[in-house]
Amino acid sequence: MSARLGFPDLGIGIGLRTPHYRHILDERPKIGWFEILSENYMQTEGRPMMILDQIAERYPIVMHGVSMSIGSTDPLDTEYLRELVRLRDRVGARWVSDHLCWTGVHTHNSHDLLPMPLTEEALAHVADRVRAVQDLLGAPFILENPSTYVEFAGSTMPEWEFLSRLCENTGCGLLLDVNNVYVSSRNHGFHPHVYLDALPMDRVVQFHVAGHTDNGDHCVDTHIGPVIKPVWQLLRYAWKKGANASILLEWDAEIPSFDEVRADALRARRYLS
Amino acid sequence: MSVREEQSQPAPVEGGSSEEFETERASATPKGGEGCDGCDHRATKPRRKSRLPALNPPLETTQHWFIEAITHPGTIESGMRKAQKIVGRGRVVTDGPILDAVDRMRIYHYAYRARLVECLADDYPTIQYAMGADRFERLASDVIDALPSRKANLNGYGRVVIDYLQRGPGEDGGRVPNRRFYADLARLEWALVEAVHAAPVPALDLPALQAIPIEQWGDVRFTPSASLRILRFDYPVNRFLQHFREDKVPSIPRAKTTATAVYRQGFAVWRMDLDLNMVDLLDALLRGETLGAALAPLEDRLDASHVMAWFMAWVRSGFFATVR
Repeated sequence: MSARLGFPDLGIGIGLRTPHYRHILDERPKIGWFEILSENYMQTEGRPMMILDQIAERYPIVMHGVSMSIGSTDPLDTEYLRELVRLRDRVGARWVSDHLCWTGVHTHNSHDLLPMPLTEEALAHVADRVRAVQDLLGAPFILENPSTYVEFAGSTMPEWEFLSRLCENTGCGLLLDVNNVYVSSRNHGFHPHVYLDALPMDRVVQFHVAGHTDNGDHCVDTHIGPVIKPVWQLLRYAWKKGANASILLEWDAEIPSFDEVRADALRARRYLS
Repeated sequence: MSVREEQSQPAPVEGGSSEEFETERASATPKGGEGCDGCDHRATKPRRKSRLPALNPPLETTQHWFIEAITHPGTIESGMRKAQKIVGRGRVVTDGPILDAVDRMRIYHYAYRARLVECLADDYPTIQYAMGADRFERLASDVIDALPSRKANLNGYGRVVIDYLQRGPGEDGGRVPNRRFYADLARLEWALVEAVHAAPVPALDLPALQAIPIEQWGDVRFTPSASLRILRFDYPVNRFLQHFREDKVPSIPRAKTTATAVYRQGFAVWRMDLDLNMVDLLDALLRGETLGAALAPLEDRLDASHVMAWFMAWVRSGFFATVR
């Protein structure tokens, strides 16, 4: 198995967000790559796409979705998937990712990343759908570990086992969000190293780092503020275990200037040496 | 034939959104920022653990239970009670190290509504201003319950506000005070959203228009640009929106028939007030009628030189993609 499933190491990137469009178009700042939220450039032919086309001419683009609903028992949305592939081909996205989650059922869409019961039935169900998506993409699909706030009474395995077996069964890759590992560890009371120790690091195609909100009795994955040191340390830990993959900073709320976001992303270098 | 002053071409006003670029729609978390900060729990110690039996329903049943619970319009407690019939007696989710199962579910219950309210507030900032934040949130919440999202993508979800407000007086939307004003304002704000997302198409230019021999003018047909919307209103909502953008603190106006064109050139979205003769003409052209047929009902009301001036302005503004 080649590292990162053969996908390139793009270095350090940041999530493409609208407050930074003007700066990026005018200043062409130095940054390894941009990750887009796929759905922001779907169901549109207008201004978002006009801007993305310009940015994609100058920077590598990776697509990260929030709406595939890979774990839902509703049928896969073929119209959505076809549009996803068209967008991938249009901007030359290096890979396509989404979350291990479901967003709705019985056609009622919550637009949230809802947690999966971690059962044999769910694993088989998700694996079937990952294979179908990969057939359509003609490439490995990359799945992110989500932040979760509940656990199911019927779960029979931890999330790290679920993801590891999913990788093994389908050949998919991992988008390892170390902030989500931290948030879930706080919410569910496990040690984040236990999670990271169990994952197949050669499947990690990409990292996410981000800020979160610590409410004391629980943490929420808000992508707000700078990345805290314990999350950077989880990145270092995973990196030392062999997951030398592209790194992406997500900052989605109270977004500061591009330079400030970029500076926080580049802090990753301190933890990789 | 004389032409009233207001039939002359009004100056278009830029303003598709209050930001240069629209804000993010898809994201992993509501932009409210604090996750469950808006909900009312603050557990400080573990509650008594549930003694109900653990359930492991089939995946579809579990998901049905979950979506019913978190989308319930009341509290999460009432949502979970109502959803219980789907799975029978027992626990679907577990208590955590600090939060119990209900408080854990509350995080999702809060996030569901917060994300969609935020989405509608992004699309309808002027309605939010006109109603006030609290009333707008109640409206948005009612809309979400009456017309939940059925699509993977949120870009088009905001259309439901118009559908809701245009319902009859006996239905949900009919209970909103000043409903017809808000319905008009919603149509204008939604047209701005649609203009942002419309495909860019090369616009018909003046030389192409001027190259048409005068004797052929009656037979020409125009194809509109993808972003062009011609809107008639019962209230002067474009002026209201403009005053809002200029921080002039407008109040809800009296009814008055008005019309506005919304369109995009490059990145910029524009609004142009139209008089009703212009609207009749543009509506007919957009239906695919020839210029001659479109002008016929207006012949005794319009002056040819004004019509030519209108077309020059409309072409300069990129209203049309082609002429044939």
